[in-house]
Amino acid sequence: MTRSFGHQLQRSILFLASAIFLCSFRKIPSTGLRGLRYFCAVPVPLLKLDAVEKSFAGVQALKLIQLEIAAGEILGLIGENGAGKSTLINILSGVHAPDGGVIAWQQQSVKFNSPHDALAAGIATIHQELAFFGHLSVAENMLLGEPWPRRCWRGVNWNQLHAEAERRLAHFELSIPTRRFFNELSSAQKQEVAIARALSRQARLLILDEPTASLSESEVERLFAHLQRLRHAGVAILYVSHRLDEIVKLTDRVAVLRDGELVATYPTAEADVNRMVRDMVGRPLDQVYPHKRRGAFGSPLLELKAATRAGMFRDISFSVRGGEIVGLAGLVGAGRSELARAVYGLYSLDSGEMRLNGKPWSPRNSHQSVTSGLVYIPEERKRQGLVLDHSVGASISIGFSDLLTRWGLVPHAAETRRVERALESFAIRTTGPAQAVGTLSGGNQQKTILARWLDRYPQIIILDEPTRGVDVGAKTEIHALIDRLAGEGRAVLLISSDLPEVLGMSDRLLVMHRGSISTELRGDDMTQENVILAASGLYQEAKGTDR
Amino acid sequence: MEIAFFTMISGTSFQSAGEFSNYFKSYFGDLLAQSAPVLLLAFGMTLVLMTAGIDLSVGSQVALVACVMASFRSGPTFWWTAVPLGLVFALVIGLVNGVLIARLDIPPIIATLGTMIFYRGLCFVVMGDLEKSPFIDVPGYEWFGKFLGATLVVGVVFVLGALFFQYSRWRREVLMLGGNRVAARYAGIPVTRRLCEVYALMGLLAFFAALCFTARNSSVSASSLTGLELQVIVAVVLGGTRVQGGGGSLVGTFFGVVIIAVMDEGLRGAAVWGDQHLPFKISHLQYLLLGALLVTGVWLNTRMERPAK
Repeated sequence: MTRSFGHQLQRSILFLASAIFLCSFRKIPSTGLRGLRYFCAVPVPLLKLDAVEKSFAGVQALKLIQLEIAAGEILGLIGENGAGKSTLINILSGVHAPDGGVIAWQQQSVKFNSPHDALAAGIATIHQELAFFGHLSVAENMLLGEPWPRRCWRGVNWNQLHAEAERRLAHFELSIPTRRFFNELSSAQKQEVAIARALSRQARLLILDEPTASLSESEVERLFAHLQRLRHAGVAILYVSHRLDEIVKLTDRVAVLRDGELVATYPTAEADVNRMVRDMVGRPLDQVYPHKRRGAFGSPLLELKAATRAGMFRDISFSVRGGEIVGLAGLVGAGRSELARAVYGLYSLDSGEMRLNGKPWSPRNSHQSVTSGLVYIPEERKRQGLVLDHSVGASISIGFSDLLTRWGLVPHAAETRRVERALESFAIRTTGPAQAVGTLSGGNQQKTILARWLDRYPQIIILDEPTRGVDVGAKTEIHALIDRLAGEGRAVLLISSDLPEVLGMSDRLLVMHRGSISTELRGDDMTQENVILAASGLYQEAKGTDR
Repeated sequence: MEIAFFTMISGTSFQSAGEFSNYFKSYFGDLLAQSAPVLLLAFGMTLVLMTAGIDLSVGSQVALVACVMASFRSGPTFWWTAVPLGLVFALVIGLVNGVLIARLDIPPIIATLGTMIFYRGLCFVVMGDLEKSPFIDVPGYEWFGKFLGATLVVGVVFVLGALFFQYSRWRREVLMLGGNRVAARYAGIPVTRRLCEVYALMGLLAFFAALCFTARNSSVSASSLTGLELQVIVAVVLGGTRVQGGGGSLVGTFFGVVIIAVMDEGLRGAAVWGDQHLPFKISHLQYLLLGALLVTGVWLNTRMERPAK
């Protein structure tokens, strides 16, 4: 009897202990036994996403995401353009509300109605474009949105304000003069101020979106040192980047997004770069491109030798021959557009030389380029391409009407004829040439800019993101058009972040990494995996280990 | 409509159709000769506003050109000394604005505010406190101040200029760079050069305006024509040209000037009748009406431009 009683006691104690142990996971606040969690040292996720989804206008941007981040962990988030990274960041930072699923923050289901809510809860996001006031001082930016120290007559106590800002910066071992204007800081210093500001608000999770896009190597090193220190202090970090080398160097775990799905998460130590790239790409080219690779090309129309412009690109050498489409891939900020603009005459070179049709080429402005047969179709059509309230006809004829003029006058009949021909041959869908170009769809706007140059018969065409924000139908048409232009013997330089496009369209592919051409890919080497590796500057390394 | 309105205010009554037509002729002759400088400058200002710029210095420019011309010796030699030099000088001071704005990237409103003060200062340096009138003794000079001369100058500039402008490539380039400077640069338009040309044209028109003004008033001092730029800008904006650039119409500008000129004349006529009946001078109403006219005009314009909801 006593034995069985003792036995029962033993069992009930065991039962109680295990109940308490379980409760510590389940978090029943009334038990007051949360301390046990630390004692047990079982990692508890700081943030847990359960079946979170989001769609925009019928397009599923995120599909049933399951993701956990623990305190003191650096999680890398990678994926191609349009994989859903920004959507995920926006949901976590309260910009968008998810359509479904549960966000558990410190084990409590939360709903963020605004970025302010997220920040108040302890999730700080540093976006690619920093939201700061350039004409305010560092200290003012640091303490923006908080009550400022006041004097007795309600005036701002500037000394205290600066002292407070300095104290916060010093906490992160930064010494940035707090009285400087934010604009006067270097990109790295700006980044550091942003991090310091985010963390001085007791953020437990720090989200960084492409923080190194405008930083130099040594500045990146410093940033990483900061992040490591934060990790040891127990801050969770979600690090979003295109640069796989940084992901490998910095993160503990990697999550890969593809087409809105979380395809894999694994500890960084277990993964090599090739696996990450495979997971990111994951699918063969599913689109048919009109371009048939031709063997024979004309003479080089555009040649660059060691072209350099400080802070933008360096030591660029390549040539584009007649009838050839040369792709230019790379990450945003790698210097592709800057290079194109320098060729177009909007920037001058610091050193190196360019040749156009075999003759030395140093354009003073874009006007000279256009009249010499070199045209550039800019990446942001609304800002750089069009006057939105001007008519479609005017937007097209501005490109060639100087060829028709007599005594400075444009013959109306000839102009109308050509505009109509352009509308027809580029299949621009309008109610007529008088329609305001801003009311057209993105694809038709893009075709309008292309049509502008038709009657000039330009020999060299540089296209910068020609199909960004364009629907599928117009995309195919633009691809066919590019192919036609090359087929007519013109040289085409195609800049694109859309990997299938740039691979499918080009005869040769140049990949830029941090301002220089890291790799040239031809023939069977032109694969998405190789482009991603080369864009991170890892191509040679990865190929070296393979063989 | 305005003409009828102000004829009514001025209280003139006509005994016969012949008298009316005589009155009408002299009224219009006067009106045109009087407003010739404003018309010429408004033409240029329309172009300047199309480029999303503004030229506050036009009043000072006209005064400076007139002052420089006035410092030459009178007589027949005036025709081949003062006039061609005045023309070149006007082009140069217009071009200075252009270079400041296009090359040195100073915002137009600041650059021309600076040159407005600077050119006015030059006027005082050239003229001192004197009032000079060498124009009276120049044979044939006053012709520019009469109906025929003024009409001819304004007509040539406005009709031929507007026709050329309407069908020129130049207009499209100016409109595009006014609508979107960045896009214009990407479209291969020589933006800097076009801007300089527009401001230089403004200088050229200031020369013709100075010609018409000095021929009519026959004397000039360092402080003549202050506030002219405001009248010009009001007329252009009233004519429907947008201050944001990228659009505008010369015909509209013409009517804008006419509205202001008619209002001026009407007030002057009304003053004859009304001053003894009222506690204030009617001519003092001018700025009151000008301001109200501008604001209502632009307000109506934006209402019409706004798309229906």
